[in-house]
Amino acid sequence: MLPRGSDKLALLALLLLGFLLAGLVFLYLWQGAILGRLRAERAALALAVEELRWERSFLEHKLREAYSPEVLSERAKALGMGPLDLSRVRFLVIADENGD
Amino acid sequence: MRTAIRRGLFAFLFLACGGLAVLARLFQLQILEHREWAAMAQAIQEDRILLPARRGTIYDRHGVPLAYDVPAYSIAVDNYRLTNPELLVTLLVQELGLGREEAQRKVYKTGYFTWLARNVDLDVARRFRALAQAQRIRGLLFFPTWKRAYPHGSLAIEVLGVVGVDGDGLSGLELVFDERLRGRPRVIRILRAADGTPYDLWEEEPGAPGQDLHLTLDYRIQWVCESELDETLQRTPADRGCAIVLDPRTGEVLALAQSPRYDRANPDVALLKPWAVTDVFEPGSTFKGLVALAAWDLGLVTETEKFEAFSPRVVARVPIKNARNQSYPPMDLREALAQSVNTVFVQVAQRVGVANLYEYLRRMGFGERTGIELPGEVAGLLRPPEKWTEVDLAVASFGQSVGVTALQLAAAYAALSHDGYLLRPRLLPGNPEVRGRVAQPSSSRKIREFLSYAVHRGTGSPAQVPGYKVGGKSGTGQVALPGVGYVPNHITTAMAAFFPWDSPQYTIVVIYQTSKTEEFWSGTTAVPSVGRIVRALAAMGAIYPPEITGVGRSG
Repeated sequence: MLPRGSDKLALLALLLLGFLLAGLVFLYLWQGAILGRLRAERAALALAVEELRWERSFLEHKLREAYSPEVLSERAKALGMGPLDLSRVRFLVIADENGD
Repeated sequence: MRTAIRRGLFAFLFLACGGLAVLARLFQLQILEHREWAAMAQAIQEDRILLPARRGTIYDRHGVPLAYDVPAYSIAVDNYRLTNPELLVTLLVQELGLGREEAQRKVYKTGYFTWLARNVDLDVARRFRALAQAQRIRGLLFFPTWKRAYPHGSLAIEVLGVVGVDGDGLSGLELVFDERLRGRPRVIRILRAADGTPYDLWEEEPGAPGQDLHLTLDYRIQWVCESELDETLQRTPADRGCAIVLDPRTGEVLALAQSPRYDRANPDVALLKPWAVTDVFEPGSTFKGLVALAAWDLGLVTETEKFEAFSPRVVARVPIKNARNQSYPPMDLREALAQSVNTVFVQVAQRVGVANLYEYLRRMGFGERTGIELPGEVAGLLRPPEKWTEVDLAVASFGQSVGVTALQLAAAYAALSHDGYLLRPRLLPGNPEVRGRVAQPSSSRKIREFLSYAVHRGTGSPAQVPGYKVGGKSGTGQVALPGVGYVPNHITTAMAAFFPWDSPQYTIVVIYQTSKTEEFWSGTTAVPSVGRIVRALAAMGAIYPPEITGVGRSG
């Protein structure tokens, strides 16, 4: 049988050890939960980025289609800019300030 | 007291047994059967997604994309899980353009998996999915994929080629460079919660996108040629036409166009064939420029020498006639090229002789493939010299009894344009590949000078563009059908040209063919087409005129 004072100290040490363990377990679970949530967010964002990349390349394609020579030619004709009359074209030598 | 202890012990033992049972079960599940349960959990919680590799992009010489992959969806249905099938049929008809019978056949099929549509545009697939969700249609499966897109429509489609629904190259450069263009698919795994929310994601296989392909084509010149061919086909009874623009200094193909072209809305597989390299024709009078080159290079003709030009001229009892059987007063070689007089060239060819002419034609690349990076190229028809008759030699002088491809003709004229060096025509950039030397630079220059006269004063005048020094030779000839011979209403018209003639930067060949009428002449088809192509090149600033028309100021 331990003396009465030692009994109390042992109980206190046991309790402290229990709190420490509980604290560590809590920390582990808490951080684990945060990590899990961050992983989930990262996965969702990665999928969203992939989706946005898709969207971007699709929109780039639409833009290129809109600027294809065929479409531009149709637009130019609609605006009365064609057909080209080469006799109206003048080729110039562009001289700079020094006359070169 | 003892009873209490006994009860406590009993309770402890009971709970301990229960605990042991739980532990034993845990041991069974987590240790003994770990592999099976882990696999089952993985199957339920994890998705393995195969992302198809993005096929390489094909660019023109300026980095303008001509063919590339865009995101799309392939849509399938699990027929056992499908709800509201009749609504799905209507949706397929309205949104994806399927016929009602076809849609019903797919939807009411018995099976776990049926493709409804492959490679559906992203916006269409998204709208389809939203509508299906709104109408509570379940059992649909959406697979992300890539779809080949051509932003300029059918521009250069017979050169670029097409790919199948699984992304395999089927024709053109897509077929030739399939290995290079295709990549390795990327595999990712997604860990999902019970409600499907992604919980974690990692890459199992990084994959690799396909390699890009940069071409020598100039999409603007390609478009100019295609537009010109389209317009001429609308205006004339031509069945088909092709146009080639080469840079004679490098052998680079700047445009290789044909009309009619493959149309995705109304597909005709035969139109995917680049007939400028797969079909042969008799080059007609365009050959005279090359025969003249051989004769001049051998020193067999002079600038001032006059030739008899009456028609017909009899060779081995066969009368050989000029166009419309017209006779002319004696004329020199330059005038004979300008007026395209057959009977003069019969005499020129006779001087050159079979062996020499054959040797020159071989050096010009006739009778063998040019080596362009396109499938299905043919070598043309050039018989060995021992099989030539006197008449064969005579008619070869104006492009009969030999079969050439449009590209061979263009390459030969490119050699004429490049001081006699024959280069391999190429669609991929790189150092020029010299295939041989056809003639001396001085001979090439002299014949170019003669051919510039042919455009300035002769049959090639509709190709003239003031200030751009176009030179070239036109030709019109009947087509010989196998087993039938020459047919009056089957005609080929051609023009082989270059400019500026004193230092050519472009070589152009335009060919048209008809099977409808005898009244089909190069002067109203191929020759003016060359002129319009030169004008368009000038308008886009591809080349500046040597004759300056004014002086401006800047700064």
